[in-house]
Amino acid sequence: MTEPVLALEGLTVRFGSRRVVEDLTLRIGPGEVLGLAGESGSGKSTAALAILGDLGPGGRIEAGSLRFEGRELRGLAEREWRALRGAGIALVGQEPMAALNPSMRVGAQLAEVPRLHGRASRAEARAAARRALEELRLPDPDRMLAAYPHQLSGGQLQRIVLAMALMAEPRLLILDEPTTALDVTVEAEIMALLRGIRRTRGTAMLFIGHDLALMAGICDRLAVLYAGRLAEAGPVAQIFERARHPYTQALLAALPRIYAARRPPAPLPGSQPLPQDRPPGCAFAPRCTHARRGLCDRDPVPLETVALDAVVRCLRWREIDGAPEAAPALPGPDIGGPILEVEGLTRRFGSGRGTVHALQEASFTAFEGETLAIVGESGCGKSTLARLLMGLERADAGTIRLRGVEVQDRLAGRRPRDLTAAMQMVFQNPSDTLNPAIPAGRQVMRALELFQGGLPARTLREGLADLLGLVRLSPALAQRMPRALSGGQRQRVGIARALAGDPAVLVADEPVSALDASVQAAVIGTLLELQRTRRATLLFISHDLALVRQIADRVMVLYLGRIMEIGPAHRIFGALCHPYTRALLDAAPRPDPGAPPPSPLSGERPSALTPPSGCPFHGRCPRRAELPETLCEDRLPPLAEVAPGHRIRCHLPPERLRF
Amino acid sequence: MRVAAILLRRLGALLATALCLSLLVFWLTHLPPNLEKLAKSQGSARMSDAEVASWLERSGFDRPVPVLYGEWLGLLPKAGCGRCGVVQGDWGQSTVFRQPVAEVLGRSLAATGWLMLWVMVVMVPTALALGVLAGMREGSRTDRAISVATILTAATPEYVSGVVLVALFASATAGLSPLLHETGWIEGRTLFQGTASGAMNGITFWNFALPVVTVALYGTGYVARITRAAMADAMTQPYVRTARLKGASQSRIVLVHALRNALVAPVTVILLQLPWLLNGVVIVETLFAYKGFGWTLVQAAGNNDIELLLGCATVAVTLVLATQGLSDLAYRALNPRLRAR
Ligand SMILES: Nc1ncnc2c1ncn2[C@@H]1O[C@H](COP(=O)(O)OP(=O)(O)OP(=O)(O)O)[C@@H](O)[C@H]1O
Ligand code: SF4
Ligand code: SF4
Ligand SMILES: [Mg+2]
Repeated sequence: MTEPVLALEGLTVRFGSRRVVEDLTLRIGPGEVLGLAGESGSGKSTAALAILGDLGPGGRIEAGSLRFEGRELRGLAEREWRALRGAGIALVGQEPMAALNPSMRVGAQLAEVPRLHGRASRAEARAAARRALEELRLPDPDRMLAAYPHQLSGGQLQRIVLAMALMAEPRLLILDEPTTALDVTVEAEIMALLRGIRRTRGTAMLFIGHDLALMAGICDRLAVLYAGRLAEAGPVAQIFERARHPYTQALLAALPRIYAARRPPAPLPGSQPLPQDRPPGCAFAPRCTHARRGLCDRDPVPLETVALDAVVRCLRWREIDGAPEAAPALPGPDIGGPILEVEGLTRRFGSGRGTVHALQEASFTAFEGETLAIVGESGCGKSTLARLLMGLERADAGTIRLRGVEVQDRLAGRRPRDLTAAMQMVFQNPSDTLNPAIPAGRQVMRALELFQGGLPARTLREGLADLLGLVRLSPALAQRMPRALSGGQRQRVGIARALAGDPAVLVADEPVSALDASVQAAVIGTLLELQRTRRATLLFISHDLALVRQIADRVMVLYLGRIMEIGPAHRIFGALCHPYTRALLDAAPRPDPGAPPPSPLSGERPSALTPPSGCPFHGRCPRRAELPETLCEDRLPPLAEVAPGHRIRCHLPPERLRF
Repeated sequence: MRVAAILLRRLGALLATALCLSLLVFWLTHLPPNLEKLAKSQGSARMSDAEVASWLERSGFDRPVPVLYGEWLGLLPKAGCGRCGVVQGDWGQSTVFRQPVAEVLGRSLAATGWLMLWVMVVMVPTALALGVLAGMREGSRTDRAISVATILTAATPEYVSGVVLVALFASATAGLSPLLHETGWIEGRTLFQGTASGAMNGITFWNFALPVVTVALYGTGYVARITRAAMADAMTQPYVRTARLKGASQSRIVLVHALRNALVAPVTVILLQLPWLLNGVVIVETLFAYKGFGWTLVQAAGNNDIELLLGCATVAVTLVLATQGLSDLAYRALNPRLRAR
């Protein structure tokens, strides 16, 4: 048997009195990619830092062993660690911008690696830095080397961090959520690079993440962490096909699936316990639908080997069968007349040569009771559109009609109260919009008083109880201050508050992107249910196409401030769509280890400062060559109707846009 | 934004503020009670009200303040010399020193310049070194020791530390000097000199050390605190972790990666400290009888020397504003994120 690159045996890490990682046993063979999955706070990053000997003050390894290529790492001297870090084990983290020194040129930071590990001269180190960038297909490496981090985009920075990690040819690469901060299209690009590195160099990797769909595309084996302990581990195909642990099953069910139309992801109730209040017995028991009293809540559950190379920590795995129930499909929407009409909406920032065209001549109509999803890469104008609709910003041109009344000239505080109540917003980051000094329930109450003022106090209290019940927040939780709530609970407070005025239109700007997958599903479920029962219109802004596919009635795609396509979801995902929409679909990860890898979109996204002439997408469009000469560069295609209610902005005839 | 544009805007703001403030001071010094005092000190103390009025009329002080201000500035013609005011380089005549104000100011500013120079030479390296040492390993024993010391010095005003230092090192009857003198270690009666008036003719270690240390002590504590905080913060940044995980040594991490980013705050603060030093200088110069800017300011105020006081105020305001502009530029220079735009 070959020596594993990394072998952890019963690793236990504590911070102060809290055991953050407990009894973790893992091995990574040569050239193997092991996925370490789990929700936020499950101890993934802590495990990675323990492997790198960098727990920081307060953290220490309490028990267990860490062997790297057969050598015990516990008790290594500082000098030996220095030689090992970078050259033996390298780390790529989540935030590329923070990981690079803001006041040092990229070239100097890269050249540092060979200088530290080899005996390279200054010039050799510089040449090596250049080669490293070229290898990761970074355009214009000389410019990159001379740039400061803030001058580059997130995707470029992450490639630079990756290049830096690879320069000393480490035998183990630890990737801690390397794509979380990036757009879908850039994510697909980084993942393609990682697959390439793995193929050409055979570097073993520990891939840490919470997105199982993404991990399915690169990992050989998967380890699922729950509350600091291993819940299940095994070959990735086996886990996707037949997960044995109820937690893994729930995670898989909570995954949005791009080919499952109109079926919201199945939520997992509750949330992961903090290290200090883990229950005795199985840590998952409070959320487990299969838990048995007197069995699961007594003694710590041992890890059991269930097949070759597969382990699970569940007492009842033999009795539990396969997948949990999927959430029921959504009933067909009950769509009424137009409620929100937008005409030629335009917003520019700055002036002269420095003008950013955040939104250009957007026209669309939203109907009563429908879910209209708005998708696109970061910076395409999604949030600008939301802010304009809400009156948080003034439009440079165009009209917004809410229930037939023009509101574009009235900023938020100036709109009549009934119109303010009629359109409400749920924000991306719930903590930013809740007042930290006021109990959660009280904040919902204030909104009620504002919109339904004049009603007797008892009616208001009943209204509050109703709202909290709708978003499934217990009255006890409503007494708490926002910081004492979990992210998902806080987001539900935000939703309850937005619902206080019984809005006809609910604008949700990336309402779940700050949340873990299992919590995400619950919040989405809440939103959809509310929308169906109250017949509100939901404008759902998101970059997650799989999720959009599952919940949207209609989809609108934005690119560099322009609407590129708008139409019924079933047509866009099933019949024909714009080349850009297609590229987004192809870039989305599939939750299936056997699926072909997603294909990234080539080319850098042009900056909104210098929007291209003609079709904004022409610089990256794979279909451009099918059109004669410079048509796409010269003329902006119209947003033309290709079928009733389906409009596409492309010069190609619709029949050539079919799947 | 372009550096040139910023400089221009700064300069404009500086001039405007200096004008406003000098007008304010001018108005305050030309209030009737002040003028009466002036008349009595220039004429005789037993002048009657009518005599005062006629003296003021003769000296031209009975005209409206804006006209007087215009003359002082040199924008309006003055009787006797055409246009001669600040703009033309004529700052008027000091009544205390019986010399042109410009001359008095030049001499005292030069003296204070030397004092500040040595304060900076002592303070900046000490403060930065202490701050970096403390912030490098937050919570370590070095950190705690340095923190206690710097908090103490930053909390002690100059008039306390000056007196204590003089008692310890420059008193013939207390502190170290009598001991050293008796045992024959020193020739004179005191180790250091308790007055710095000799430094006007030639600065020596023995006559200058105490005033410099007195001013530097407070500043060192303060700047070291800020450096420590910035350093401790930089050491927890992800890019420092990146450097550590590249295999960089502790010294390289501190000197190459953390320091540069940590220096932004202290350098800005040091520059903002310059005008504050002027303030400490008033106390120390008076305490050590060193005839610099601070001492001159006290003399001018104490003796109702209107034109000298005006000159001092204008110079002080200009200095404060100029250092603020300078600290802005330094902040930009150290921060590539701002430089690029
Ligand atoms: N330096 C520290 N001091 C005290 N507690 C810590 C420290 N670092 C992490 N923890 C705790 O350890 C637990 C696991 O944290 P860790 O960062 O490993 O989670 P994670 O799985 O990487 O989460 P995420 O997905 O959010 O990155 C959390 O409860 C966290 O609060
Ligand atoms: S041990 Fe019990 S509670 Fe834990 S996962 Fe298995 S069935 Fe659920
Ligand atoms: S118009 Fe041309 S560049 Fe634009 S999407 Fe269609 S084919 Fe691509
Ligand atoms: Mg983490």
